[in-house]
Amino acid sequence: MSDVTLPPLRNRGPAWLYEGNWSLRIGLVSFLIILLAAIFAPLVTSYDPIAIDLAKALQPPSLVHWMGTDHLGRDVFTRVVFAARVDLQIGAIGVALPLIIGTIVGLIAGYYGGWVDAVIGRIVDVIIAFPFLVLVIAIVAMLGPGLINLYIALTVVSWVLYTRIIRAETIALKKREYVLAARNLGFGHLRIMFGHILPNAIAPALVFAMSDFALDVQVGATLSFFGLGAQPPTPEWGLMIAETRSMMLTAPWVVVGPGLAIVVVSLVVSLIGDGLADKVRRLDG
Amino acid sequence: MIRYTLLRLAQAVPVLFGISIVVFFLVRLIPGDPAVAALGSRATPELIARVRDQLGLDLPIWEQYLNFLSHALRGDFGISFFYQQDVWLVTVERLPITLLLMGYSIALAVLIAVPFAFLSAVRQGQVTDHALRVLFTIGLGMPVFWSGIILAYILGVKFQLLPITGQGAGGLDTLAHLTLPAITLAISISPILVRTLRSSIIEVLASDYVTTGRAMGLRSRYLNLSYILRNSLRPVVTVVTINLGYLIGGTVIVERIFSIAGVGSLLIGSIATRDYAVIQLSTLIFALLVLVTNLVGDLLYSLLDPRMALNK
Repeated sequence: MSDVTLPPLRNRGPAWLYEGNWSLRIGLVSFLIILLAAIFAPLVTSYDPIAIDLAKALQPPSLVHWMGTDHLGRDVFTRVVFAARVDLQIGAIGVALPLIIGTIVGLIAGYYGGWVDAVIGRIVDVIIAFPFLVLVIAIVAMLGPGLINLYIALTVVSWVLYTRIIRAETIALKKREYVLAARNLGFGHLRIMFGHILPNAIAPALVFAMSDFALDVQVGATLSFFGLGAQPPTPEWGLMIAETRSMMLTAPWVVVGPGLAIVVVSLVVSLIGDGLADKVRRLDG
Repeated sequence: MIRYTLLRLAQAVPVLFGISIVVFFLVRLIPGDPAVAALGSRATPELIARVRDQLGLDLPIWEQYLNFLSHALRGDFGISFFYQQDVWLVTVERLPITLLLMGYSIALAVLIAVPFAFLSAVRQGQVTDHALRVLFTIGLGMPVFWSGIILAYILGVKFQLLPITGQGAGGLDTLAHLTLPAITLAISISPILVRTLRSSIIEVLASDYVTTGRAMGLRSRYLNLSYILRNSLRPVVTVVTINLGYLIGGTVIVERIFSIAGVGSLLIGSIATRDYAVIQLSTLIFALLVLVTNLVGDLLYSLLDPRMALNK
């Protein structure tokens, strides 16, 4: 579509809402703040995330306890901040491992084609046929609860998504002149795949990685909520909600903080994703 | 058309085989002896031997798979350790309520998505459009188990508008019981629908026949309903089928939260009772649901739009 067909510019609202660079900037800065808060959690808050103090149980939000206290007298805000360590780790590992594996497999499938591609393609089709969450839950149910098994399940289920993206890009790129030139110069397959094709194929996978990060954080929290992920007393957003759910009638604030944290992380990551997508579009266009 | 149908069916066969292999190997993931794991504290040497024999655990792996496959094709998935009943019966009996919940949620999601997508498209690039986008990004960012709990608290407990547990006694009562779970699911999938519908409506708005209709002086309500909406609703079927896996994931969570006796809550419940055969079959059923829906969706679509079959 050319720019000519766009409707005339009307009141488009404040600029930061639609300028891709700004959504990237705001997203990255917010993410950095959350990341630093998680890493330096003991400096952000003076309370202990695990020590029990029943005398202070279920206090409503106040200036001393911003998000109130839970049934064991622990400061909810403190636990939300410490939980970011676990939840961001779930997102990071849940994206990094599938991204690396999926990219390598996708490059191989797209570059070599033929029966290699056919076999990989069938495996991808099969894993994609399963509902994401159902397969992750089934795998963790068999392996046993815990974060390590969650990472294994997330990797097994989501590498195929990256493979599909990278494979399609590779097939398109391998006919480009610079790849043909590299081949005529006698470069090895590995050098062409990783040195010439990969840098040009990775952008859409990185954009997808952002929404995948949010999805992984949600799936991690969901599994922990069902008792399959992080185990008590580890502060983790989904687990915190599960532990305090029964107290909700008398103390609704106990489940609000951890849920909001998940929403905020998803929002921030999707801002980065939108910004990246916009950047990629501009580079291509 | 017949050629296309046969082609699509032929494409589904290897995937079907693959699904059966994955589901078969799921049980192999159990660390240690699956028989011991399934029996838990009830394990005695005799019981273990019996279960090992029953599961055919002493045979070579490919023979075990063929056994599994031939039994599966006859609907034989063994006996549930927890329910002491045929796994197939335990699971399939719960499928109707799950399907009803999914259908209800899709209907609500479309009802939510269409007006907002329309508003967003008409006000493209304006403040309303941006505000709606932020709102729906938040909707997408809310984990289903959390929004379900919050909605149950507000609508079910605070205002006592809707029942929050179980599936009711059939008919309208069931529909009432499924409303809150369906709203929860609709909130989580409507953002995806809005995104696609919005761009589809924008495309239609810019099309020549809408411009012509406008130039002919058609009333805007007629134009909106009969020209724009009808033509932009076409991608809905595709979006729903593509995101069916996501919807199923949400259904599993929501059934558990609202104690609805569907396949999803059975899957989660069977984890604690180590009812591995039930976990296996419910995973298989959900995968088959995705496969069949995609197949039917594709065929329906090619029936509505014969160009589709030619393109593939």
